Amino acid sequence: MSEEKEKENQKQAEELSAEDLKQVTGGASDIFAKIGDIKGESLDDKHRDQRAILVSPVTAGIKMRQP
Amino acid sequence: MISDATLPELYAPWLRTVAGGPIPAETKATCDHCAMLASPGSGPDAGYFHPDTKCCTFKPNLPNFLAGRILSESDPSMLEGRKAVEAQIARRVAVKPSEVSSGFVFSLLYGATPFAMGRAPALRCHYLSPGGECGIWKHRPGVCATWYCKHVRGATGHRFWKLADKLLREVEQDLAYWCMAQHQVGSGELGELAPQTRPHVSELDGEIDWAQYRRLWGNWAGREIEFYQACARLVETLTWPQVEENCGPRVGILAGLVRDAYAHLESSAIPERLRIKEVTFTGFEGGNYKVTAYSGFDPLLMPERLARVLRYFDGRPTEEALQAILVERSVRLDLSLVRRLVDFGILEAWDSGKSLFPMVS
Repeated sequence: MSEEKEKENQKQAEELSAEDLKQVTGGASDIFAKIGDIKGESLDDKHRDQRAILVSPVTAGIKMRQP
Repeated sequence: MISDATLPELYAPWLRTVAGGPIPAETKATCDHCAMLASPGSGPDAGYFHPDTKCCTFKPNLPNFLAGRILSESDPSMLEGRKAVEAQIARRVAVKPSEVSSGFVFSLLYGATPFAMGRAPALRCHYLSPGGECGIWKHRPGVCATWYCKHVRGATGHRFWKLADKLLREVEQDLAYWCMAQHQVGSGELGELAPQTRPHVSELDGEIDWAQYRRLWGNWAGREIEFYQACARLVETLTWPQVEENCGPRVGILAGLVRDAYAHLESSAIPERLRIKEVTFTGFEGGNYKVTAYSGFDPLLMPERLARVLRYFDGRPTEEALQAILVERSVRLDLSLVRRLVDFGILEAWDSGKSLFPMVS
């Protein structure tokens, strides 16, 4: 990359700070994955047009930190 | 200004002494306005707690001295908790000199049900008032006082509280036995050659094994409340050094670990080299990725621009990684954000010299 281009990139750089990584209410849920344009067979209203790849947090290896 | 964590009366001065300073409150885990309940502004794809219980689907064991404090409590806000302890003692079910136990039926159900926490109303804690307030709040045991769904400092906070939990569990067990020794009761309980590992029928409304009950309690049988209150009086004036003196060596070791975790909690240093630790992308919401790292109870929203530059943290010096991200991707990462990525377990410090399997190419 040319020095000029590098300087240009630095000038136009987007700033990201701690506030940009936000905590949210609730916890991890079952995960629906959408694959390309393939119409899926999900029966869940919220995921009607998605391919029904449903992974529970536990299956996905997400740690549920309960006592 | 950071407020102090709300700890049980007995444990607050002990933990402050162990840590060596004030313990910051976990302000993201808001019991009064539960952060795990769905609200009109909540995202659609999240695992929420049941509104009747919030996180209180866990029934704690009460060590004898805490049971005694609850039974001696005159505060009206603790009335429901006191009544629940009195009722269990009156039934003589899972009532031992060492503790008022949650019983094996609860342990079996809780242990065998994945993701039961907050989502199984049938496991509602019996110390909760009908209005949903904790009836033993001022004297709740370590496991309840140290568990938070979300942590201001993510995994860094979780580590501190988890170690505090381990420490307090150890203290509770050791001090409970110490109280028993002081009051010359306990040979029946500790002398059991085959420890109980399954529920007794009394937990399922069956008959009490009275012979065994009398063996457990000796001369204190029928005076259980008096015994628990006597234990509370023994413990209430102990300073932390006296606690350590009366407990086993594990307490001293765990106290050292809590002190170390507290030092990390107070630090905002950035490791010299970083690499990606773990992050699971679980959805897309409002132009951000929804991600989970150290805990499924504490998901984050991550801007796509940030997700795309994480790969630069590959073990090279952190300064070099930040410079490369700036030059090549036109993104400037504030150091506070880098620290937050470490706190939440998305990035971790990396020392190639300590790697068990060093990179060969």
